[in-house]
Amino acid sequence: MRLDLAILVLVVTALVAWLGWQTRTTEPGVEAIGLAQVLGDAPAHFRRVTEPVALEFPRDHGAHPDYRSEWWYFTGNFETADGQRLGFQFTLFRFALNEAQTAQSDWATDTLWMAHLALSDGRSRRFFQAERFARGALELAGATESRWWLRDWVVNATPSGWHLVADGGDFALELNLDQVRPLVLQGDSGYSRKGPEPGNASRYYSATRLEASGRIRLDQQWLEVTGLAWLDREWGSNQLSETLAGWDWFALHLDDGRDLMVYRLRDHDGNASPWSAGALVERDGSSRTLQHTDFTADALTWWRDPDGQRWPLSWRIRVPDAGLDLTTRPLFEDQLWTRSVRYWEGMIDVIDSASGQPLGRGYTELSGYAE
Amino acid sequence: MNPLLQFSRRFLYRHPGQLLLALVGIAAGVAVVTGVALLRDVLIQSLDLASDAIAGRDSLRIEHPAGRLAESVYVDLATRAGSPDLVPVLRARVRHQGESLEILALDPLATSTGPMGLSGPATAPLLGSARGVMLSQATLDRLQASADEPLVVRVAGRSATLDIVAVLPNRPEIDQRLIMDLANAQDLLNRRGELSWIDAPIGASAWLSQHLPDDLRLTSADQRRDSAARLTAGMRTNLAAMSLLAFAVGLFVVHAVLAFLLVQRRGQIGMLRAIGVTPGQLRTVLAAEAFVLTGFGALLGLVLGTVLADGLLDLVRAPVAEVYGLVTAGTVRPTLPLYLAVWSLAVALGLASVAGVLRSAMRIAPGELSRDTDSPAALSDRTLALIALVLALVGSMSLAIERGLELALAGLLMWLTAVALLVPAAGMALLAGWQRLRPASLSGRAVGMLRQARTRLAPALAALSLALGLSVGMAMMVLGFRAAVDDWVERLLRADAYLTVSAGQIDDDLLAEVEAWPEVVSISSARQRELPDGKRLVGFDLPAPAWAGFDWLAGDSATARPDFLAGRGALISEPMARHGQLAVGDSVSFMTPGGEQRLPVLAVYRDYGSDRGVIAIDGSFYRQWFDDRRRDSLGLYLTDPEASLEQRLATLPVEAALTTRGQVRAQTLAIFDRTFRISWALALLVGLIALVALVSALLALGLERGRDYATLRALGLTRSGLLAWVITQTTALAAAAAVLAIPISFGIHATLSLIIQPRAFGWTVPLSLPLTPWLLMLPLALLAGALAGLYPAWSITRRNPAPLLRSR
Repeated sequence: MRLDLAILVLVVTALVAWLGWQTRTTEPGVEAIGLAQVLGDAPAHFRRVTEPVALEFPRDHGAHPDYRSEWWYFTGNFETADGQRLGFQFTLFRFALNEAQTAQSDWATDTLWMAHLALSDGRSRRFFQAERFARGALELAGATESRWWLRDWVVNATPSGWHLVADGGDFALELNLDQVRPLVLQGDSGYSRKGPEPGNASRYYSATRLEASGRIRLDQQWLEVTGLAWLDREWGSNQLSETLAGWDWFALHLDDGRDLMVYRLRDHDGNASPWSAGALVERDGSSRTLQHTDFTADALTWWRDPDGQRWPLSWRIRVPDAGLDLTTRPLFEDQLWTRSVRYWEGMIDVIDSASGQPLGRGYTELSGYAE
Repeated sequence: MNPLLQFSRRFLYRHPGQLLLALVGIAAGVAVVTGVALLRDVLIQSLDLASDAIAGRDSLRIEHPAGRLAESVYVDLATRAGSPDLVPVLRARVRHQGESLEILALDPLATSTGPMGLSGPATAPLLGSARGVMLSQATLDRLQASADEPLVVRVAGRSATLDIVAVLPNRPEIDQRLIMDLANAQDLLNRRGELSWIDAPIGASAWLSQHLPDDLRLTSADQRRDSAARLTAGMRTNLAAMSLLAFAVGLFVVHAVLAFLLVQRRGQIGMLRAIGVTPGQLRTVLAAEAFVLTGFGALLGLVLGTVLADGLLDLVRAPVAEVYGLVTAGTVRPTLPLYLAVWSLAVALGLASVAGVLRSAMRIAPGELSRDTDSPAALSDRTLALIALVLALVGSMSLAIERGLELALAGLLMWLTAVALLVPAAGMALLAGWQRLRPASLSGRAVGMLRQARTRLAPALAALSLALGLSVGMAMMVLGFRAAVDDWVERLLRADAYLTVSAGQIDDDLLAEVEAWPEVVSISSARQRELPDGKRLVGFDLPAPAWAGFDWLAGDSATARPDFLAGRGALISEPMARHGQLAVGDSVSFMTPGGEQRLPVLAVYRDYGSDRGVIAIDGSFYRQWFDDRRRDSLGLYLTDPEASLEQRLATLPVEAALTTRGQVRAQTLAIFDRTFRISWALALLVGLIALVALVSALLALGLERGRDYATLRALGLTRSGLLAWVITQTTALAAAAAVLAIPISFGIHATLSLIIQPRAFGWTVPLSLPLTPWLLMLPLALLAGALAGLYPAWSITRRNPAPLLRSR
């Protein structure tokens, strides 16, 4: 009796399991993109950045379609009148297709555009992210000297800087970003080498200090905000060598009026590459390039994301010549991009490593950890 | 262990054949119901799946009433402030070796999540290959294609070679679909600047209602499902009715088997009662037994039904694409609620069907060990007749009420139930007649023994009669319908030849060239357009002989013609008239790019081409209102019908083909036959389940009557004599069922042709009397009856008569 009961139960279980299996629904998984991969390995017909050339503005604010990839990258820290801290990121990426479409249709394109819009709410410790793609056709996306856009996410040039409007659904931004310091040409006059091979380089310039004001919609409420933002512009083909796994990038607004940017390129063992570099901008707008020997950046504490991946969120950065020994701390941990590219981009506080006194605010980007 | 359960289990173990039959009966009934229910879902979701795949479940669709929209509409909407993620879609139907497929072209970069899991640079292969498509593994398998080889399809009347750039994981939403990049597809289809529709996520309705231009409209997933439901209502109802009948026959089997299992245990139950087992305890055990049997059988049925559904889907996929223009998923998509609903229904009805048996078990007195005669029927013939009469009356009223397909089906079902109640008495009367004719013969005695087991045999007899009647009635209806379609096509096709071109569409220049051929006396032409609400609009150029081909059902064709040619009115097909409750003098309206057109109905004509209905207008007005000068096909009226035009064809600048009247007729009938394949399949299933019912009833009879058979053996009947005895019985039963099936089948044929068809599809079918199904059914039924007797006969003759005789 026990045996046949067991057999019956087994058969019933098998049948129910089979039926259950039939009712499964498969949701499509979104394929993650390896940015480091996209930024290397460009076909030969794309132009390489191999030497310094004079950049010209506003012409060079627009797209450079001869190069494989390019981006327009805003980050910034804000505060509302009642002290609520908010951070934002808006990035427009351009990727040229290896081969342009040959169709006669108006939709035919040679370019993919991707935009990332994120908002960090320091009070509720929530991170909002929105991602969009568009093809470079029918004016759906593009970048000219005075306008950078993907559908209705638009940055327009103004006499004093830029105006950004973007609606991510859960949140929206309308910001004036006024340029109060001259553009900083990174590396050698904007020629920023990232590796040993010819072409392992990009054109790179920044507007390090933008006085930002405007409003942010969060939880169906518009909040008036003010703060400081940063713009990075970069383009190239094949800028990263195969030996690199990713980078750690810091853009800091110090309370003493200086701006500090350092990036630490990492090899596959996690060691800093000799091509790591940075820039220090003085109060008067003058700047100097930092070589990898001029600074150190060491991870202090790590955070494990829900998928078990570890991210170094707190860092000690030393620039001995400038008398800086800083510690960066994220306002909160989960500022992780989980869309088609997995990277950490978040608002941070800067404190004095010795005294713990606040020294400023900024943004950190950590890439290549989840690929 | 509980001795009562032990009692139950041992008994079932001793009668594995009966146990198996009960399981097969319930499983088969449930399988057919499950299969058809799953199929029904596929049909309803077929209009919706594409948008599901693109913009998620329950997505919205932006459409233009004319069926296509300019791509600038998308660009304008997508770049406005606050715009949701909209996906531009271009759709085209293509064929690959007889399989209907759909090219679903879209901008894979249009949504943030990426339609179908494609996102950003992952879409590069699709964009990068000019003829690149992605498809699911299941579709690839079904096409018997290889991902490494080009895929040749027919699209818009010509051949195109596509490259498979990726094989996607299987999902019903993308079954039978070739995903393509919009730019490449516009080039391939020669439809630059054009979109079929724009998909939007469900959350976008508020924004869209504010920003949508007036000439566009927004349809919800529910509306699309409704459209698909309306489109396929006739076919689905037909299937549902068949499946319910299969289920009812399955229930007969369960009832017969459980009743028998109980009868077998009368003695044991009497004994148990004598030793103090209460009726309550008995009821629990017997009900538990019935529950386990039906529950397990129903579970098997769900599994079989899921497998069956894919088979049924293979049968309907081609006709659904041809007749309704719907590309369905390649496999069914079962859901937990559907499984639960079917299972619960099966178990509940199974238990209800044995409730009477349980009650009779409760009435067994303590110590009652056996019985000699068949237990009296629960209801007398008179009561049964009365119930049948009431059912038949109510059923007739439901059938008589004008309109309402569901009501008509309910009426038919009531009629069938009434018939089922009367069949046993009628069958027994037939057997009695036989017995009276040959009282002394072996067959007369064998039949006489059957009549004593009426209660046992009644369900099987009723099931068999109904199954045979239904199969034959369906067959008669289909054959009658086929003849009607044949007549209609014959009459309609007046031209000597029909010209189509490989590019799909005939332009003015080509028309002028053909008109100039000296062999051509006149030309008819047609241009068909699918309206967004599923209706078809046809622009006809009809010379007098073509006009004469129409079978007019209402209106005066002589006065209608001048009005039609002058654009003062439209012709409508019979289904259009019936669905819209339109008569001559009423008006019909449809959207054109320039706005709504409203025309009076001039006449109604017979049409079996579209069950949604057709509005026909004169070609010159069609061309003017829709700014579309192309024609789909030309009908050529020649000076000499036998004239060869092959050399003329060769002079045309495009690849063209001529089809003769006979070929068009053959194609039409081929489509018709494909459409009804599923009806044949279901009729066969119902017949098979009825045979199971017959075998189980006879087996029960054989075991129950073991002592009688033993007596016959003792009286000198040989084994082979007994074998002949039992086979005579089964054949006689089958013969009685077949004879009764004749009037039943005629009733079903008449109801389907005269009442159900007009309500389901909108057209009437003249009643005819095709006799072939009867002539086929009678010998088949007798053969099946004889075959069905083999196992019970074997089991009966194998037994040793001595212990059976002593058992008293």
